[in-house]
Amino acid sequence: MKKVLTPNHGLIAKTRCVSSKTNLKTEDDQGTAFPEQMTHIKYASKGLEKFPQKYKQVPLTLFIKKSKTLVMLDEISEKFTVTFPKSEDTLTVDIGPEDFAKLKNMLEKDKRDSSPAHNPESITECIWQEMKTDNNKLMQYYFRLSKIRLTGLVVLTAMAGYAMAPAAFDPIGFTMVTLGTGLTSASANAINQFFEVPFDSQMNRTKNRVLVRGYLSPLHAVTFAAVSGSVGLVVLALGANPLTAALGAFNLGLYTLVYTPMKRHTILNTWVGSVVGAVPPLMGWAACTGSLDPGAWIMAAIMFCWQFPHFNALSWNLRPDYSRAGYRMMSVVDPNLCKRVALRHTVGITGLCFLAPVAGLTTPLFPVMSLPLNLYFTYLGWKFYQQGDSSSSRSLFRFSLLHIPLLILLMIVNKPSRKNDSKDSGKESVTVVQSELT
Amino acid sequence: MKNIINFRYVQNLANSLNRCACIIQFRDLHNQGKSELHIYNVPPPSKKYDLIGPPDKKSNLRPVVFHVPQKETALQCRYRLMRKETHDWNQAFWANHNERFFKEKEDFVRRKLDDKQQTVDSAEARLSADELSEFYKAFLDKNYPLHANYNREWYHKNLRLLFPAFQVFLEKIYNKLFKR
Repeated sequence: MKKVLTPNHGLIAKTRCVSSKTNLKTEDDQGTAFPEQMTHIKYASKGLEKFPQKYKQVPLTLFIKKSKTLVMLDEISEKFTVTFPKSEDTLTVDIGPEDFAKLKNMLEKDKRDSSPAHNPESITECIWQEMKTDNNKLMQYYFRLSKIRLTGLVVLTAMAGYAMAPAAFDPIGFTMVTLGTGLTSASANAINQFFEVPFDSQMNRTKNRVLVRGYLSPLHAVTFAAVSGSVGLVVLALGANPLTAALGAFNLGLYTLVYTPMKRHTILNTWVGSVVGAVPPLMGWAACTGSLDPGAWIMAAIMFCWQFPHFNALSWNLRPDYSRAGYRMMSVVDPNLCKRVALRHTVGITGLCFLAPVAGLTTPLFPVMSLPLNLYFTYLGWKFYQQGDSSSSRSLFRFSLLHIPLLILLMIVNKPSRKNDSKDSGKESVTVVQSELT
Repeated sequence: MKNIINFRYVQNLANSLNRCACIIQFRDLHNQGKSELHIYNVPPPSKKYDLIGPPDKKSNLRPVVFHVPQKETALQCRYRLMRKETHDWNQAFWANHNERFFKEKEDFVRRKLDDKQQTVDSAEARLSADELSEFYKAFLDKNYPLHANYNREWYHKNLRLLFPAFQVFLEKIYNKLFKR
C-alpha cells in the first residue's frame, strides 16, 4: 500500500534535514541556477481540512509558481519520488536506508510521545492565527464551550426524571426545566473549560477546545457562563419551582468549585462527579411534583452507579495523558480499585433495578425486562475486571453509552399508571368542587 | 532506474517551505471556489490583533504574540503585561514538567527492559500498559506537591486576569462612544 506524504507530518521539512546530511554527490550544487529567493508554492488538495483515512489519499501535489512546474510527491518504499508531469521527469529522492530508518524512527518517536504538539491532526492546528472573534461562528463556539453533547445527555436525564415523576405532565413546566437545565449545564461546562486551559492543552482528547485554541477570550467565556448560568437558574426558579433551582445551583457549584479543582488532588473526584451526574433526574422530578419521592432517589442512585463503569472505562486508555497532565484518577493511581469499583457498580445497577418497583418508581415488570441489559453490562464489567486492557475498557465504555438510554426507555415504558396523574384528574377535581358549590 | 538527484530542486523546495510564508491554495471540490489559506511558520505582522500559534513542542501550550497598539492606554499596558507574565510562567512550568516526564519515562523503560534483559531499540521492546502504569502512578505521587502548588498559583493568576480584562473592555467601549 502506498503511503502518502501529507503536510501534517511536516515530512517535507524533515526530508530536507535528512537529505542535507547524506553524502549526495553533487559537485555543481554551489553554482545554482535558482537564486535563493522566495518561491511561491501552491498546494492543491481535495479541500478537506482534515485528512481522514476513509478518503482516498492522493499524492501531495505542489505547484511551483516561478518555474511553473507541477510537482507530485509520492512515497514508494524508501525513496520519495518527485514527478514533474510537464516534462515527465521523475526525480527520486533516495535518502538511503539508514537515514530513512532514522526519519521513520523520528516520526514514530513523535507519535509515541503522544503529546498534542507532536500529533497534529489538521493543518489549522499548526498555523499562526489572529485572535479575532469570528462572529459567524459564535454559536458554534458556544456549543463547543458548553460541551453540547454532554449537556444534551444531562438534559435527557432531566427529562427522564420529569417523565417518571407521578404528577401531571405540564408542557410549560417541562420546557422550562429542559431549558433551565441545559443553560445551567452549559454554564458549568464553560467554567470548567475556563479553569482547565493548560491541562486541556496537554491532552490529545481536549487539545482543540475553544479556549485552548484562542477562538474566544477568557473574559468572553466567563461572561457566557455567567449569563447562561443566571438565566438558567432564573428559568428553573420561575418556570419550575425553587427546589429545582436550588438543586441546579447546588449542582453548578459542585461541578465547578468542587469537582474541577478536586480532579487534581484526590481520586475522590470521581465520586463527586457521579453525584453531579445523578442530580439532573432529581431536578426533573422536583420540577414535576415539587418534592423528591423515594422513586426519585432510586433513579438518582441508578445514575450515580452508572457513572463509574462509564468513566472508569473511559479513563483506562487515557492513563498516559492523565498522568502527564497531573490529574489524579483511579485508573492511574489505583488501577485495581478502578476495575473493582466499575464492576461493583454494574452489580449495583442490577440490584437497584429490583428496588425500583418497591419504591414505586416502576411496575414489577421493569426489573425483569431490564435484566438482560443489566446482566450484559455486568458481564462487560466482569471482563474489564479480569482483563483490564484497552479493548475490554472500550467495549464497556461503548456499551455504557447504549445502556443508559435503553434503561431509561424501559423505565418510562414501565411507569406505573396512577389515578391521580391522568389528564382526567383535573376535570374530576373541578366537577367535585362545582358539585360542592351548587 | 537511478535518476540523478538534483540537489538544487530539493534544496529549493525545502528552503521555500521552511523559510518563507507560503500561500496555500485550497481547491474546494464542493463549490469550486478558490480560497486562500495563508500558512506562516513565523508569526505574521498583525495590525490589530494578538496572534496565537501552533503548540510549543515542549510545553504543548500555544504561544501568544501580543499586539501593542500605537496608542496603548495604561490599563491596556498593564493587562498585556499581566497576560504575558502568566503565559511565560505557564510555558516555563510545562516545558520543564514535560521534559522531566519524558526523561523519567525513558529511564523507567530502560531500567525495566534491562531487568527483562532486552535492549531498548529492539522491535519487541515494548512495555505493557500495566507495567507502564507503575511509572505513571509513581510520577503522579512524586509530583503531587508540585502539582498542588501549580494549581493554586494557576487559579490565582487566571482569576486575577479577569477584572483587568473587563476594565480594558469597558475602556474600549467608553472610547468608542465618547471619544471620536
